[in-house]
Amino acid sequence: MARLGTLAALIAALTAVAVAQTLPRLHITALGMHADKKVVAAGAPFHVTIYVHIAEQRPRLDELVLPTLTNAVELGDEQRREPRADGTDFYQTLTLTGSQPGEAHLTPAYIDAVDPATGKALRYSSDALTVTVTPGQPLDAVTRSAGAMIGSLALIVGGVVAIVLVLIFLVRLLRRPRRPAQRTGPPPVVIPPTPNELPSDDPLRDAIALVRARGDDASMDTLRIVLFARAGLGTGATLADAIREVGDRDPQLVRTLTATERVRFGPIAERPAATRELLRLLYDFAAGVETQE
Amino acid sequence: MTPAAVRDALHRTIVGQQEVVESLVLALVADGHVLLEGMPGVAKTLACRALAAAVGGAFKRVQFTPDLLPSDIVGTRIFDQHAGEFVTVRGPIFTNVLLADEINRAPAKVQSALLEGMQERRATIGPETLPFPRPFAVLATMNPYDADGTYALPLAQLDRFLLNVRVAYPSREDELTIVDRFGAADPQFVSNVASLEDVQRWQREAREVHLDDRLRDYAVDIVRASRGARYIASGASPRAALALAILARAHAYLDGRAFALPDDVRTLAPSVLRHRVVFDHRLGIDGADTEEVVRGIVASVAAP
Repeated sequence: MARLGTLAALIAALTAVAVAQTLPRLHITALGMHADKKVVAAGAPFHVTIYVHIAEQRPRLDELVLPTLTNAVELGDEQRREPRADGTDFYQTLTLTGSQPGEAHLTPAYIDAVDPATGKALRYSSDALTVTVTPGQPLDAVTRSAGAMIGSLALIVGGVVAIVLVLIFLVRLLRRPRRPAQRTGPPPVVIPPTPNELPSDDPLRDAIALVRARGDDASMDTLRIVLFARAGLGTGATLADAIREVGDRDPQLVRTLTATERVRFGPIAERPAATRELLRLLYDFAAGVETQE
Repeated sequence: MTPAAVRDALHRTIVGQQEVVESLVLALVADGHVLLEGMPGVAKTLACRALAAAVGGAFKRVQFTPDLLPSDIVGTRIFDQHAGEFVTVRGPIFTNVLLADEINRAPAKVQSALLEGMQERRATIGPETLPFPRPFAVLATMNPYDADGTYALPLAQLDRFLLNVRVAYPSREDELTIVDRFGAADPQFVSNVASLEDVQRWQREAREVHLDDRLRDYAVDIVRASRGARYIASGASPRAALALAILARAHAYLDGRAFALPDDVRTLAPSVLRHRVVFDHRLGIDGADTEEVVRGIVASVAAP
């Protein structure tokens, strides 16, 4: 019995190693998903953009697993690539439409990859997304009085747009990244994304999610409050206070706070790169590991 | 070349006095004037000379006395018998670094002659208005403890000084080093570690440092808090908020950052405020400390 257990553990370990070897080595520093509208009418199109930054230079990112849709239909998707000095930005834009009034749900987009720094297989995932779908707007009196000509014109334009969208959909279908259901082979060795290592009631977890989702001044202020609280400091404290308070005890917290201040008070033009660096430090901080300088 | 080279050069001449050295380099990068207050013999003058030498700039020293005239600083017009016309003779203010030693020993007329120069960086002599060489900085010294035969500086002039630095006595170790180093030989200045062009480039780059709106608000709030604060008869002017913003940028630049942080504002606020506020009579009655009052004003405003 004991031998069987050992054998099973050995097989599992070998499988994990084999899976890890099949995964790409990617240094993923940002993965976010957001919709251009929070509320849409049923049948009206809206866009969801998935943003990924990797430290490597890559022509494509086929490893990105798109979200599963509930109460929404995909009309098309497109991947855009922007090479940067510090890696590559990918923007995957999905054109969707809500099916029924209610809520449309998108599961997190994710990438399974081996972290080059640690050699571990990791699942990097975005946040889930929910969009409220309202009933389609009925024609009001003014619209009715516009006459049959406008209606016919709209019908023709709508028809042309629908044909174009169908064509785009068919073309993209051949090039689209994998869906979860289409994935073949054994599942990867999954380590949850770093924020998941924090307890669900940890305010840092919410603050990180907020920065990942929005990255604006308000989300940065929330993160600063949480991090300064970790240093035992309240509102009105500064980086120098934090260094005095925890400098030697918790250098990773100081590094993370320094990066946070850079994002919050730095030039707007440098914010995307500074945010990527901050998220990397936050993941390490949340995981309790020392960031490699 | 970087400002750190100037800082190192000053430290090789001056023993200790970390804050003085930092403040002089900061003011140089911020393109401002400095008021140094302290007892005689604490290296105020030496620091100013060392700064001018380090950047290869022209240095002039004026010992302010009660009989000093404005023309002794700014210059005058004299009749040239050979040319048969009046010619302008420029005063010592036409320099890169002007040391106004014991500035409070000259009457108001002379002090005000400095005003145009400090603010406009030019001087008017007769019909001519002449610009100063760039960079230009007035480094003034004052002994606050020896009030006999002195004239209080008008607020308008004090406001022109970007920074006020309190020069303290050196530590015992530093004092021993001073005796060893300068007991047998004159001070040796480290010259030309940077050029005047370098200084002007630093000044340009420092002005481009990003200052977030919330830091601007923070600077303004600190200055406004000085008005009506306890022991304060008259608060700082809007020029103080401007000075704080300029200095925060320069401080961040010296720290190698392209953006300022709340610490830049908070650290420098006392040096910006202490010579711009007027303390009331209750300060003396209660035996309160001016420095504590200024630091209290800064601490009363929460950093963003």
